[in-house]
Amino acid sequence: MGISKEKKALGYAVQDVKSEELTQAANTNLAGALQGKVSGIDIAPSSGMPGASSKITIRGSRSFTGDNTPLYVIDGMPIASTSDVNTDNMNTGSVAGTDYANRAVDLDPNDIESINILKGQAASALYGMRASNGVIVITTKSGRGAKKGKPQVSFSTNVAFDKIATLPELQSEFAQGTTGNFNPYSGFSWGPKISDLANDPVYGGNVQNAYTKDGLHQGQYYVAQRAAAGLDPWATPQAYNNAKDFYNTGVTWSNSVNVAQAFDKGNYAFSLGNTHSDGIVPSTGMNRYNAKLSGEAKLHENWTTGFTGNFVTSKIKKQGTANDGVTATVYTAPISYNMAGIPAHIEGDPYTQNTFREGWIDDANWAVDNNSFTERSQRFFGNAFLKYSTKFNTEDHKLDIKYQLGDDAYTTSYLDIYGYGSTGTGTGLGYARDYGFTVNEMNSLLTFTYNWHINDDFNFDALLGNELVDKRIKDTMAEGYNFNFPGWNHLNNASVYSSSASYSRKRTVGNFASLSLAWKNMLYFNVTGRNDIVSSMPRGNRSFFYPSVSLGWVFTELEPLKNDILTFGKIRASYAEVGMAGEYVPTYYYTPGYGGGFFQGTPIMYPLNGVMSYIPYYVVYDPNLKPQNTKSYEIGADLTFLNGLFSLNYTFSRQNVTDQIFEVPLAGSTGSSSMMMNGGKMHSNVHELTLGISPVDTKDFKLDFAFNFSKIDNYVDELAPGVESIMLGGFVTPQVRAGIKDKFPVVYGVSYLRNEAGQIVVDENGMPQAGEEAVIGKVSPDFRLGFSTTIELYKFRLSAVFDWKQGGQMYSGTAGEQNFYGVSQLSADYRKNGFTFGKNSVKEVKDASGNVTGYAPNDIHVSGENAETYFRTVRGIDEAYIYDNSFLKLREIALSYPVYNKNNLNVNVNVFARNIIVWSEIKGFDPEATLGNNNMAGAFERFSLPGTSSYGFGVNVKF
Amino acid sequence: MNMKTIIGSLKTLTVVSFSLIFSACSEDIMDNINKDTSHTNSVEGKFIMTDVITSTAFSNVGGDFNTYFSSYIEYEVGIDNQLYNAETRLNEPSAASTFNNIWSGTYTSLKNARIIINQCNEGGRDEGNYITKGAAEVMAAYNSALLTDMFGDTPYSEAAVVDENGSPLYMTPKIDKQEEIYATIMTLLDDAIVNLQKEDLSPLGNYDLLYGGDAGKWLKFAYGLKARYTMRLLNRSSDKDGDLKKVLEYTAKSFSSAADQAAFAVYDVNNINPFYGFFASRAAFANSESLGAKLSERKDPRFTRVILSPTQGGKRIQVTGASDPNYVPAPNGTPEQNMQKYGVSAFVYSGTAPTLLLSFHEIKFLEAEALSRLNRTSEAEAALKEAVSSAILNTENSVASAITTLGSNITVTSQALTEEAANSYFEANVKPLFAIDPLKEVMLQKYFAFWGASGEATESFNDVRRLKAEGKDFYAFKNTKKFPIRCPYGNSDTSANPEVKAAYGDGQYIYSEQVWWAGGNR
Repeated sequence: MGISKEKKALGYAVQDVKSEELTQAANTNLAGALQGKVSGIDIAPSSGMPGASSKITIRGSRSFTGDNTPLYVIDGMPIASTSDVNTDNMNTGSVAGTDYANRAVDLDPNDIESINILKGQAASALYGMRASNGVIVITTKSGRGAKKGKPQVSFSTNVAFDKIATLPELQSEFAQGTTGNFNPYSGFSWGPKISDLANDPVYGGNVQNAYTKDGLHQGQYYVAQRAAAGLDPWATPQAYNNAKDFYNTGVTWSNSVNVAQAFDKGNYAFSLGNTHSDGIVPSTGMNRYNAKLSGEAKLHENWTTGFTGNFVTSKIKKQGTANDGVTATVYTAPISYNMAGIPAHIEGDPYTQNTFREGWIDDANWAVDNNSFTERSQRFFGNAFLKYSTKFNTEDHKLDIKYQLGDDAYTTSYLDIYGYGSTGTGTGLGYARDYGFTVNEMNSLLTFTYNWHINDDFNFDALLGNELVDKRIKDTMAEGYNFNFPGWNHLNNASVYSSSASYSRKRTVGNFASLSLAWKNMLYFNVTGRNDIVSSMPRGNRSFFYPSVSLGWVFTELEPLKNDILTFGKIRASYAEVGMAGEYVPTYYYTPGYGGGFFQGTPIMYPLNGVMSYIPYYVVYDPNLKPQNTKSYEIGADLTFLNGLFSLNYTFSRQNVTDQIFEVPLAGSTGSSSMMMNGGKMHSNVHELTLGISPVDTKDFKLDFAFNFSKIDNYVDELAPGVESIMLGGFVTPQVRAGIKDKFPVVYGVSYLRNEAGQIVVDENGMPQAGEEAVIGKVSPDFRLGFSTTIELYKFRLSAVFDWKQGGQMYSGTAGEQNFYGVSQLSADYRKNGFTFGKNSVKEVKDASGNVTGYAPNDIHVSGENAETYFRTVRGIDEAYIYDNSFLKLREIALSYPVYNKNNLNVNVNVFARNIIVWSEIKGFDPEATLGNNNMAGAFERFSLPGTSSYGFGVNVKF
Repeated sequence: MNMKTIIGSLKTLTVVSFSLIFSACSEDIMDNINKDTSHTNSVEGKFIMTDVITSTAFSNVGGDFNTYFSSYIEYEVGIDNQLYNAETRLNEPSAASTFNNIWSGTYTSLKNARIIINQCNEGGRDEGNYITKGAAEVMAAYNSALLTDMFGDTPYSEAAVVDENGSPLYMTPKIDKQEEIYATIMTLLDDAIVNLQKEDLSPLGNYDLLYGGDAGKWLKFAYGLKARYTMRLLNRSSDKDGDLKKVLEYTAKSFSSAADQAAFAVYDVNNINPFYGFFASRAAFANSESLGAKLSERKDPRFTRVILSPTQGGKRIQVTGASDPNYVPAPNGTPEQNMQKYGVSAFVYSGTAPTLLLSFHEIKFLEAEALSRLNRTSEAEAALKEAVSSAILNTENSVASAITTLGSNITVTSQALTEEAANSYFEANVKPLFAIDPLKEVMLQKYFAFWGASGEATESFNDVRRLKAEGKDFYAFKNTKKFPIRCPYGNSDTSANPEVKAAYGDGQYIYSEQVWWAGGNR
């Protein structure tokens, strides 16, 4: 917007992150590089896979099912940062298929000079409705600040090694099977002791049976899958850690070159960057190339022109997650089964799977060879401007008129393959889906900036602007089922086809103004207003106006308050309203699809007998749709003590969001399933505190500490009439949803049976029982605290960032299923020793005639032989799979040292590590690895892809 | 530059930019930009009719009703997950989520049929298409009956109607009485009978997946439904003999051979029969012990033709009789959740068996029932004989499909069922029982006939409830747990429609409250 303001003058909170902080640990992912460094912001990564999605929200959520992520503005122009594919739509509740990268993946942190985060609506009001969720303003490296004359060249290269962040503790005693009996095709590890396998009456090598007709195999047992793979079928029983065996060490190489130069009348810069990653899951990885060129020239005393252009191309190779998850088999594989040692296909036929459990999810090793999920993208974004500046031959007036024209254009293409022989489709003959988006967004921006130095006491600023955004989205999809023959997993080998295409346009025209008045460097008053007219709303409801007002008072400018302890003190307050538009189209017809429910794949598909059908779409659009509105206020203070030794910023903000636009579920008897309409209210109360301490600041020793504390309480107040919850993802139960009066979001599912006092009631065998469906987990944390420190000692620079999340829960399907399948250490402990169900549960006390008269603490011992039954029982109780997930992570630690610094040549070497789990309530799993690239992120896990920890080193050269 | 010129130049700029702005965002331009070129907002009725037929056949008749009822009325035994829960009467039969898909789906089919009818009305875009309108009325009646048969008193007059924007006219449709719904169903069929004897300006043609636009067959279908529903309401009839005669009048005007029946026969390798599709995805069915006993007792040829062994290395074999060790049925109501343990019926592999909305054999059974009730026994016997042989030929068609699906994974040990085999079975084993209790044997043979992959468990569940309500429990089911006598409302309504939510309560009414035509009052 061409708006740069002195921080001192602001009536609201903003926070900066500098280049050095972003790149100190060589994170190639921008969202990851911000973790722990900003208050009031919540970053939910999905996994440690290359290019994995992550969700950033600032001060909570405003929309139930829509986008809650901030607007990215790069070098003055908004660009797309979200994925065009929502896992909820594409993967039926985000519990199958694969993840989709956000378009923020296109940004190279190495090319970022600084990031300015506008958290509140007052700060972002001028950016219009797209800024309801806050703004991340990014300035890339340019030649503007460079020294004149010789070009400045900087080069950096880093290599990082990724390993699985943590692995669960497995039992090592019990073999494949159930109820103590060995079964070579069982998915469970409730079989006999591994040490007894050689004595198994059917498969043991120590005893006479069908397999030992030609002689005993002492100490060994017959493994049918080894035979099927053409190996010697006899193996010595032992325990395996199949998950550990499965993951690789990932490697990420990243390189970047930046050249910048300033001239008398201008400057230019270009950057090239490249990242190459191989993920810890075989077959996954990412390749990204970034190029940027920017320049600015002063053409004349009054005229300036400039441009910036970025080109990015990337390829991301992913794998299946959740119900198509590669981790499903590795985390639940029987302890006695050697996945790494037995080929995943039968001998001579790479397409027929050879696994410990037939007909279930694809075997992980088979899947990485036969199933693939690939994203490719090409993108250009950039802009050019022309600016006219004049002082009207005075000293007190200054006017800038700037016109900027920009474009953000990209194509993405996605290719999903389930190979011939995959269980992922009903027929087992495979499936291919080829789809993509071509998106072009043109941005025209005209601004008038006027400054009037009225007198020594008063200063007046005005800004007037017009923005026109024109967006075009083309998407196409072709899918094919049932490959004709194996060996060619390609769309062109399918025997049934379906395809679709759509094209849509959207225009937003915004007019905005900002007026500021400053008095004596002490009082700063600002009002803004913006009107947006947007095409994607119904006729008559397209124009919206949003105002904001803010006031900052630097009270330490008052003579009586000037002192040496509190050297700077400001209190500030602001109020703003920002709207969000919906995506309205008149209710339309579509060709219905069949599938879902009990069916895997698509049991029946149009055209049928050569004819098509069109019926009304199951979502109808309310022609009276109006914009959703966020009203917010914030108050805060910025205090600096002892000339910067100690600084404190505190902000409290409150947001009230009304008239959310979402698909309101309808009574099925209406004949439609939902209506895109207004409904619902939510609010958030947010406390943000940043604290900086610089106790030592000498030439050879510098010490800085920073704390970023956030407490975000985001509540759903109302949904539409008759609607008590909105599903965000998951299964029928458990699922992630927005529920009235609950913190946003919650996990819902079958709870434990409880008595009136809320105590869990066990049955006569000491087993917990299934109760009603209810809220079983609260996702939102109590608070988050980021802590970072920098120590500079002589030439060494050590920096570290810790990130502490306190409170909050998640559904961990994998952790729960490891118990159910009998692979966890817990399952073996219970089996060996028995246990008494805890959680302060109670048992019923009955009188002689069997009536319940009261409750007593549960002291019923469940014997070890019932452990299997116990875990089968609690599998029907979703609440049993809910885990608290507070954690403390060492986000980053980095040490750098300038090995050479002479004659304008500076060589810096560094070592770093990232994302080390220091402490976590949930054991064995990364508490941040979850499903969904949408509002369910951070809440729900079931065979999702894991998190990683990284270790690496690099060199930076400047000359 | 003075203040005046500053203001002057600002003014000029403002005027220029604002005139640009307003031409860029007038309502007409914005309408044009937001125009949804990727979709249509209205189509000719025949394009809607295709899916009214497909959804009715595949999802409403052949879908979840048929799947769950197959367990309730002991055609199959549910042995895994949801079907196990239904079999053992855990939460599933009374949970509002269980039938929610089919609840919404059937209302959607009804809504779409009503849209076609409206479009064919005066002033509508399909005005003058009387056959299309008649066919849509038949389908509307059909889906209306499905709804009220399964859910009893249910949203109807305010349900499944949309305004000119396609939005629901009523967001919370009120509940109507079943008696009133049935009155409307009969009116719809009467109107259809009139319209189907007129012409179409733009014929349905291939878009009619049942009859290819053949109005004569639609007319027979309409009469057949009149027969079915008149029989359905028999317990509420004030003139039973009169109504039974009407049934005979209607059946006479209905199908005269299997070639006339309302068969959804589009299935092939890629578009699969839903009963097969269910098993292919879930494998949650096993042979029913009680049904096997009934068939075995009658020496019914379907026993050795349909019942297969448990899987042995991925292969199955036809069982040769009740004493064959390969015959491993699941006990009704108390199975193990174990897919390896039990045998299955061949129907679970009938990938191309058509879904029958109304079969020729059903018409003959209705005729036989009416005649039996009117004590016209010899006529009844003739009708029954034709019904049984037609039904057995339909069974054979499904078994043949299963044999094709299984390929080398089935060992066939029995002979294909033929009309001769059916007739000799009738003479030897059906006739003597018919002689003892004609109505009982008619109803039991109808029960056997509806066992299959053709979606007829849905209608069979109605017969079971109607006869039980009449005090005639011919079926002697072996599942000792309580029998669900209807389906619970769908949870999209129990959460968004307060009247339905109140009517649903805790859902236990599905075990205790009969629908109106079975003697209940809701």
